[in-house]
Amino acid sequence: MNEELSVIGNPAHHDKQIVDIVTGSLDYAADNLPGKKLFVRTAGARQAHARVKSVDVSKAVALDGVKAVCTYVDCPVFSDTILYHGQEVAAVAAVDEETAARAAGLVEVEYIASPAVFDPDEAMQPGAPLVGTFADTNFYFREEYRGDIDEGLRQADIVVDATLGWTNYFQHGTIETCTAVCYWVGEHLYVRTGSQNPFNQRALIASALEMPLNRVHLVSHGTGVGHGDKHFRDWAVVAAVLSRKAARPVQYAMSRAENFINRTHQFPMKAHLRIGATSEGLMTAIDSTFYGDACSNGWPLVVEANDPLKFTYYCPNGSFKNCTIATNKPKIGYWRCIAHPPATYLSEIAIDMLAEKTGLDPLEFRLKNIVTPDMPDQDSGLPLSSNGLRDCLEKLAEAIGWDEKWHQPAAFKLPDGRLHGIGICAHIDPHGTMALPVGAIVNINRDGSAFINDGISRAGGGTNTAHCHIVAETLGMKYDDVMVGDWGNTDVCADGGMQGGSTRTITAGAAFYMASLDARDQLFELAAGMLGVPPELIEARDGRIFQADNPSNFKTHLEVCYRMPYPIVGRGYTWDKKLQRQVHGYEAGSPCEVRGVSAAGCEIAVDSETGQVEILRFCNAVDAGRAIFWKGCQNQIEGGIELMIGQAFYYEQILDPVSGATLNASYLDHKFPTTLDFDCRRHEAIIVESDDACGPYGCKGIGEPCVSNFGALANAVYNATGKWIHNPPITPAKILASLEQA
Amino acid sequence: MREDRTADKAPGISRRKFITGTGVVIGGLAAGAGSLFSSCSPADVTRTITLATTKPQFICPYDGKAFDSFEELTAYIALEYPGLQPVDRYVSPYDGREFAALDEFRSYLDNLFSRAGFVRLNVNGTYHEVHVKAGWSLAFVLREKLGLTGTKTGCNRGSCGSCTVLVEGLAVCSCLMLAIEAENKSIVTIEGLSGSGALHPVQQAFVDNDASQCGYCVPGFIMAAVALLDRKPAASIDDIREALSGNLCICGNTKKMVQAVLACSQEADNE
Ligand code: FES
Ligand code: FES
Repeated sequence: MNEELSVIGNPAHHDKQIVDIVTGSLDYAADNLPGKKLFVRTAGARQAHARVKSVDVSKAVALDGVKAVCTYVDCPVFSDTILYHGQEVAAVAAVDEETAARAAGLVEVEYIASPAVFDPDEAMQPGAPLVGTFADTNFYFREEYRGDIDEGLRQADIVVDATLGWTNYFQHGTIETCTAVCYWVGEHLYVRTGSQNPFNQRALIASALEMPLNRVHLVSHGTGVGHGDKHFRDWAVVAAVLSRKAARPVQYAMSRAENFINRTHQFPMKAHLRIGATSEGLMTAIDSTFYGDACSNGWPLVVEANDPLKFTYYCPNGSFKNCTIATNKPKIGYWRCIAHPPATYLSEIAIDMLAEKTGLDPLEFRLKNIVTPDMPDQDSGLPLSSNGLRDCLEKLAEAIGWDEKWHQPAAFKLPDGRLHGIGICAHIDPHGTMALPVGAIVNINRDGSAFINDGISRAGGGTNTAHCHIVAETLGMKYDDVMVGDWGNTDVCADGGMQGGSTRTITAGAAFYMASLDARDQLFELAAGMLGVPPELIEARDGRIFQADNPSNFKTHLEVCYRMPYPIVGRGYTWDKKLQRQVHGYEAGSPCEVRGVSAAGCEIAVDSETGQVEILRFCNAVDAGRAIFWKGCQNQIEGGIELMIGQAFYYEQILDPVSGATLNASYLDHKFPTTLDFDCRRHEAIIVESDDACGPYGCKGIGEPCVSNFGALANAVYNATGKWIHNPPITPAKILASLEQA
Repeated sequence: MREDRTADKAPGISRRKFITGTGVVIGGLAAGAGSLFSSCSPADVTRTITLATTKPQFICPYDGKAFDSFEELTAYIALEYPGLQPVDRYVSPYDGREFAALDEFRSYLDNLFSRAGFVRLNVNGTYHEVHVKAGWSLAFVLREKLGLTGTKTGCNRGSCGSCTVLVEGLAVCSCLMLAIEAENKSIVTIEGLSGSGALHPVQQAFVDNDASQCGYCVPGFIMAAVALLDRKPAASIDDIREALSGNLCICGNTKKMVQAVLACSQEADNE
């Protein structure tokens, strides 16, 4: 903990909302009970690629207990163009979910079917059926260059040339399914929903319903996991439309199956990588092509897939290509990132391959090639506001015992006969940065306390609590004296932006920092008269407002606030994406790049008879810039370990290759690991503090960097077995099959 | 004699008053019966009756004699008090619905009391008589009818553990149990743990360890842990891992939760 800080980074501080959570009183969307709620189920298409010819809802409407039905005709988020199996065509609101489900089953749809394609490799073949997402094609390429790729490859003594992938296609599985409760009061729509972005969600809902923003009132208190799936509007619009029709409050809590099929998915990725290095192990060329299966909505998220290779390693020559492919699969979205977890998985396998060829161990190779803190970004030339990657790797290596434990592939067995493996993975990505400016409101109370109106929901590890830390530190208040007021409420908060891109602590944190300064100026103005010194000579800390050079001349916040002649409110907004402080010789205030930085390492035992992998140790080192809410930061990094285990070994949504129907739309079949699948005592979070020059108090984001290094598990499996498994999930069956290959 | 009694009680009566043993009035006194009902949550359409017996009894309004069925009562009245004016309407006390014909009224009541009957649920030490449909899960009734929304649902299929409550002391997925199955069993929800105001030791340990990210799974984990520790106060880490393995935490927060539970185990004291 930094000596100069009295609130930030204190490991003793608790989450501001933890008591509400353990008592079950924090309200998530469905916990709102605005009178006689109706419940919703939807009818999904039984075709993967088709046009709806007609929908007959008469039988559904006639069912006792059904109060409203909507279809693509009157619900703006439904369409008569079917691009994947299970796409919603109609929704029913009824007195309970069973009735709604029965009615949804009575909706009769006639289709004009078209041929569909589900395999991205097939979709790229000439003559493949057109998915319908892009005009006249199923795929397109983009390309970027750095230096001279041919020259770089010529300089290389060693080249790895590998085609890796596909990685796993899976759904976020947010424990609270996407849920909204909507009701109307006159022309005003009230929405309670889980949200990663209340203000933008409100805007999306308003535009879908063609309403002005001041008639849509959205509140999101608890959000049961976001992971990137709760930025959107669809479920709330369905509930709003049905609520208007039925003139009753409507709750659309998607069923687990609806959520698996109709919400967004992590997209599969494949890569063709040619990476060259000199015989000393210095990288000279990266020629990479990433293919992303953009499924039926065709988002070009794969464009970011080159980032880990571009940002992590110093390499003067590069050709970075990506290809976005359309298929008739349920739609994709962001999963805790845009493209970096699968891209890092594939590129870090290639880096290990290259290390092996150069004769260096994977850690040595990385330490030799990673960009150093003083290096500017290789493409933009802008300085990095912080870069703790070396620190991450070194601390990680020590925690995991790399030097003693690393061995040549398939060269070490444990006494019980299982194969021992150890692996690491590291990367730098563009997350954790200052995003679009947002606002913040800090209210000072007459009793010397303060509360914040935070424009985001509680979707994760206590971002609201981190904001309270920043406010308490800046106002010099005690931590306990700052509380979260109402939050995630579009009527009383300033727009807090999106909980995505690992940006809320730094971006909204900066706004709260500015709002606190605004409030502090007003407080100091008031205190000046009481202390008999001008405001510029006043400081505040630990619940006291005092004369800087004579701390015994002080007043408590209570004593000052009690005399507020008018209510003191601090307003702030995010500062620009500029350096606040000077870094590596660059002047304060010049533009910079903020980077997400992390490394992970694990030690495993592989049973060559059963293919089972046991995790013996898993360390996750993340550069947080500065840990603001220490325990929240630690929780998120520990959580990253479980999510990396999930990506490597479990998550996968399986489609029927003929119909494209989802075959495992339940938690039982689409596995998420539980407490028995790993021993959490073997997990360790390592917080690295690099004091970011841009973030308030030196912080930056960790939400995505902390889940992206699951390639460590693939590298450890290789170290154990000598076989690469580059198409996760790494199942026992795949391990056994790989062991059988010569 | 019979005529006298009829004359005493009956003059001017144009509506029959049939009173059940629970005090629920079926018939013309419906309005007056409102005070016998208490609404248990703002969303509630089905009233909770906080009286003692569930079985409807049909009581003759003229002499107080009780019958098990409506048929018996009407037969008795036809015999004992002939010459009364016929009923002009029947009013349901539950929702004020009126019926002109006895048959309709009867089938409506049959519906209320059989297919969609009342169950008596003992939740956190309080009895609630709740009007449920046969297919409603305990989770649904706890949340939507009793307003106890601390119990979350993540799958409604028994595969995530978010809805865990204690039924007769055992951790049960309340989404898998029908409300009618839970009749007269003791149910404890997350709200019941801290009913006295102070946090339950497991809740306190979750606070101490900040064992939560989004928090949605947390009530379910806590209930599973309480069930374990009630059964086995000196639970080992493996007991804990096993007891919590029916619960999913999609944030990946189990390390802190396991630590919190371990801190409550007597085994932790010995280690
Ligand atoms: S909601 Fe009951 S187990 Fe998932
Ligand atoms: S804390 Fe979010 S699912 Fe467990």
